[in-house]
Amino acid sequence: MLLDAVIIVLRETLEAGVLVSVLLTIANQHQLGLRWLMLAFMGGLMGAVIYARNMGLVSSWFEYVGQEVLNGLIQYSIYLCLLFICLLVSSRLSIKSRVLMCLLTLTVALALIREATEIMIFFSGFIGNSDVLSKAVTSGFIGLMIGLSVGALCYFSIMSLKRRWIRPTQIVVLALVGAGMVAQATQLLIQADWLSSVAPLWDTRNILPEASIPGQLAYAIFGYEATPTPLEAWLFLGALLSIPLAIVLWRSVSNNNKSNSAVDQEIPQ
Amino acid sequence: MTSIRLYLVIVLLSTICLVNFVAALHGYRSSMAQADKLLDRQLTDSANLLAKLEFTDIGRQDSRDFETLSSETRHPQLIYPQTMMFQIWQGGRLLERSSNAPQALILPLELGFHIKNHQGLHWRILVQQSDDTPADASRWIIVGQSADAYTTLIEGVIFQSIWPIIWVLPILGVAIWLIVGLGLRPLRQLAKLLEQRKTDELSPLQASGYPGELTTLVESTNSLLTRLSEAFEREKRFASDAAHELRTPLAVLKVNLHNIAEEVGIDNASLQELEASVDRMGHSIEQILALYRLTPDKFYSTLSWVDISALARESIAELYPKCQNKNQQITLDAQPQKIECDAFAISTLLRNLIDNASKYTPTGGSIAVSVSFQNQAQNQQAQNQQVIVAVEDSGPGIPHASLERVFDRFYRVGGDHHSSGVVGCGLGLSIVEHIVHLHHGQIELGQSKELGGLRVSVVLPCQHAVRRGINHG
Repeated sequence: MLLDAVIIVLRETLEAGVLVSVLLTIANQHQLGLRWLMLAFMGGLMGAVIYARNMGLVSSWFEYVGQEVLNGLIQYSIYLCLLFICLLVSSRLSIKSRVLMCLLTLTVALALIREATEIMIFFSGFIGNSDVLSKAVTSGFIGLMIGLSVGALCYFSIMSLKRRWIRPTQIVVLALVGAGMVAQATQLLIQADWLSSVAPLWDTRNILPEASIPGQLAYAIFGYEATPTPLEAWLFLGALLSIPLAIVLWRSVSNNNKSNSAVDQEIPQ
Repeated sequence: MTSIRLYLVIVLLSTICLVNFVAALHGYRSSMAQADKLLDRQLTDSANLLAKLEFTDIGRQDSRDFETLSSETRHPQLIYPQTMMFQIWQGGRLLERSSNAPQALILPLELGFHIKNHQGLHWRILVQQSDDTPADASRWIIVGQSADAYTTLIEGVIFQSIWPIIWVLPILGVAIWLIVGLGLRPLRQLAKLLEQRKTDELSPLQASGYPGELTTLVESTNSLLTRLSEAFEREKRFASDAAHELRTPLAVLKVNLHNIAEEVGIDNASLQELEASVDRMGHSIEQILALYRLTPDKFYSTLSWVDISALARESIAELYPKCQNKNQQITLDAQPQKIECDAFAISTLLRNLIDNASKYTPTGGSIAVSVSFQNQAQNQQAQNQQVIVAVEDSGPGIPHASLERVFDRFYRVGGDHHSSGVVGCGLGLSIVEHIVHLHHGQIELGQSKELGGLRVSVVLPCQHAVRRGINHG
């Protein structure tokens, strides 16, 4: 029980910790303050409470795979938000702070809904048995503290980098986390039988067990799975490469627009 | 990073948390692995013990007895806890079982350790074949131990060891906060030392007594202070020497000009312009000298209690001939009141304001000087009293657009071709603002309601801010 509670909370808080810490460094770089984070936490926790309370109803959707489908959709939405955040961060154009702030708030809120719901459902199973609940809460606290510590260290590690390395690091970490989200969402849709399930592409359980601390950290950073299906692996790779590709495309399009407008100005009407 | 202290506390606490809790998790896993080994050894011992027991008569027992009597009754030598169960099978027949074991095979006869759910509990079960029986008889010993009971016991022990780590965290946080604060004390002391220095104090800091990390900073600061002191000294010498050296040839030039005019006996426009230019140059030199005398390093050593209305009276008397030449009327409305100030600076301020008013007020115009007092927050103490010096005139005033720029050095409204045609160098109001700033006062420009021209209002604290403990950085 102790280990289960630690693993459940650790899994969720590590992922949220790494994601929030990178987004905080972006907010810090663009001097967005902390109001957006408070809003995101309030919105995310409220959303998680509502989701957890209506889990029965949600689960009955889509022939009783509603939970998997909704979680998968949340994960895909987070990936899209991260993609746009990376585009805005890497853009040479002046960033619209309001748009960036909205995206950051939405991403953290969605991640919290996803992660906090799992934790709430897990702990709600112990309500009524105070002895077991206190042990579970203590175990959860250990997982929470590990997740928060990794998040804090991740934040200060990025902030202590040389200025020119901060942005590439933010984009690399966000691309990995985003691709991990896509892999997890795909796995959920496979569980829901929305996507076909085939034999795993490889099995690395002996090398890096998912339940180990390094395995959990790898899960948090890039959605590590020891036995991924080919679809999961390809989608992971596709999602990972889409972010740098989108950044390059975005830059070339904006450069073309700039040179076109410069030529238009030079040609006398 | 907004605070070194906060950064260190968060990073240290996070690292300690991470290391401690990961170690605790590792400890938990190791303990569980050891407990499993211990349990397995206990099961093996129990199985070996049961294999040694003689059950040859059991098969001939009354089947009713076998079903109703417990193994403890049939074999009083068998004492085992309820968290344990066993079955002994031979040739497909159950020879013996514990009271909590079923009569059927609890699990297939496969050698080794197994996990099985039975009666709502997790059981770790060992299936072992006895070596003492003939191969055809094949006696199987099945021994199980409740894993839940074991896990609860081990988790209890682990919790007892984890609780202190959790409880100690807030204490650790406070301790780190205090220790980091203590470690940063030399830095704070150095900052305080620099902050408390007077503006004219540019002597090097004490070079010893600092931790190694701060020595470089102190050395760099000392080097900077030395260079700054030398630069100030050079600037002071230059301004002072240049002004003094220019005064003498200028005075000679004025005398020679006067002599030429007398000798030649002409009164042409070029000569008048030349005289005006020399006057302007002389005025500029006097103003530059005034600015030099008002540098902060000289200022703070000359503070004294002075009657400001007397200073106003003296300034008016000094400039009265000038006003009389332009047929201007000048009035003073003042009560005697002492303020802590630099007498020379306040005289310069008043002379500049009255001189300006006279310059830009047309012939026959009016100038009004007033000195009044006000108490802040109805407090009668000297430290909260303020004096308001106002100089109003009936001149053209200053256009709204130029109000912000008139305090800039060498700025004149309309440039050198001011409509009044008066001599000026654009330093007057700049010097006034500088003096007001040195006295921690305020200056405001507006339109005179009574005379219609410019109204310059200066608010000065009666007791100087430095004495009141206000930082003048």
